[in-house]
Amino acid sequence: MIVVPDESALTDPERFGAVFDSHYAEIRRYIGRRLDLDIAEDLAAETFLIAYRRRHRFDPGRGEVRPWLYGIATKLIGRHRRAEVRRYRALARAAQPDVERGHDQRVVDRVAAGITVGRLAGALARLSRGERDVVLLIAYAGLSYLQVAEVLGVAGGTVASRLSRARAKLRDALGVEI
Amino acid sequence: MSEFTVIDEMMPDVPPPNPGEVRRVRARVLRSKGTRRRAPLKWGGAVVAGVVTVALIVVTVVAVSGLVENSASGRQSAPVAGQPGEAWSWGSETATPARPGAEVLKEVVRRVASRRETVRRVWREEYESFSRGWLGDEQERYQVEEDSGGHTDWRGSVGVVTQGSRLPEVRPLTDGDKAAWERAGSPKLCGTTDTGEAGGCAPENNLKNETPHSGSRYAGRMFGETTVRFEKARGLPKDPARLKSYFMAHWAEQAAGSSPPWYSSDELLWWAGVHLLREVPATPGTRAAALRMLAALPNMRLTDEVKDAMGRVGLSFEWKRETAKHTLVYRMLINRATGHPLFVGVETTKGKPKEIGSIGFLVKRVGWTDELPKCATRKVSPCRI
Repeated sequence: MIVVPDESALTDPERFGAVFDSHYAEIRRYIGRRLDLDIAEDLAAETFLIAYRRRHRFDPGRGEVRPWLYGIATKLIGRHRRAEVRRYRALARAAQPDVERGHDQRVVDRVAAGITVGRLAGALARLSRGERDVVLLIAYAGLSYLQVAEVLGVAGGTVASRLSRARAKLRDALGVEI
Repeated sequence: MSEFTVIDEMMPDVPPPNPGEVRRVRARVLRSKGTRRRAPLKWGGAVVAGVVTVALIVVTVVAVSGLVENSASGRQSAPVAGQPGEAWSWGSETATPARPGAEVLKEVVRRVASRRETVRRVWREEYESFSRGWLGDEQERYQVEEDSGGHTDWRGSVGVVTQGSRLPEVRPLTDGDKAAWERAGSPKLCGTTDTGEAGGCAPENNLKNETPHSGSRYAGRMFGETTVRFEKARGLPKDPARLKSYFMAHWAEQAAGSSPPWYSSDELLWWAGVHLLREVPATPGTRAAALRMLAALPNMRLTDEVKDAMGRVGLSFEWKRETAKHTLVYRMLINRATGHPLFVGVETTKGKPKEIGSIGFLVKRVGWTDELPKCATRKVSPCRI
């Protein structure tokens, strides 16, 4: 049976357990795609520990629990900004064929011809932290502009301007619109 | 915002958490006090260091015991199909996946339906195909595999182009099969595309792909129309019930114009869903509906953390169908991030000797692209796409 957590009652530990069951793998995956997996597992656990501690403050009237969790995770990732950038640079330096054969996404279609993991990683490394947060919350979490603004605690216009700058940087780095 | 889809599709993914990790973290979270930790007292550095050391020891012990537990409980992969002692090309599944397949499917469907896509010039699918079956006579039987190598299908607004990397190769599957084939005099082995006796292929050594799965071709014909007409593919229903009704109405219309199809509707729906996911440039909503339609087939088994022959981990759909003469097992493995098929295959486990066998497709890449086959980029185009 699929348990759909009732987000209005997160204060109940059992309900919070359902939230954990529904979102843990997703949050861990999001962090793991930005940082090394060993750090990601620790931060995913930390995300839910923080959420559990702050569950009384969660206001379902302001948004869903999923973006709220992404927000906590993104803030934790921010403490490892240098590690994230180092990881992208390492991916960019690695031999392309080996990198692309070695991970689970190697068979996923490439929407734009000529864009490799290495070039993409290099481009992500050149984004500012704020720009990268916006881009990856959209790309990995599928959040809307409004949700991203809520998650990051910034205005919608800030999200739009960060996106605009990120698009320009990615286009310059990759040579195509993505 | 669809421009960022490429990041999701191309950047490295992470393996799913193992059940031991999830259990430990879950217990740690729900057992926590639920209040903010106090800052350590200034004079308590040594105490804190001691606590941390003890905690590290405890975590190490727990982790090691978890590994032992996982190993003892058979979490290592186990073959799910094939001859005794031999893993089939399908791959293997984890003995105790962390989450029920239905729950994972729900997440995949949500992810696929909310996917932002960038429509490009053509829909491309790169895949490898293989067939397996038994050849020889009553004296010596041996199982062979036909490896057709890599293929790329390019589906554009006016046509389809298929390009293969090489000619198919047929060979005995195992050392035992090879020995049996040699005892039989090493006769010429012929594959599904060989021309039979006219091409020097003895009937008993010609893999004719007699696996009773021809519903695939019948269902696929429908997409021969929709794939060349993008606008029709883009308008397919986004609700599983309506998508099913669309297919059933199509076949009813076909049957009214000719003899009724002899396939079961479930079999046709299986193949329609699989063809749609592989070949059709349908919208993300339709693709999500197709996944739900397939999952709703009777006795469908959904299993997470299944690994294919290339080591790719995904969510598997396994559907067993019994007829009076045959037992067929249909399988599809999907990428949990994109919903795209990684492997599609069908195996006949009961039937006439020549019908026992399997066909499979390892899907290496599928999706929109602006890259065209070389034949379509020449000025005088020999292929319309």
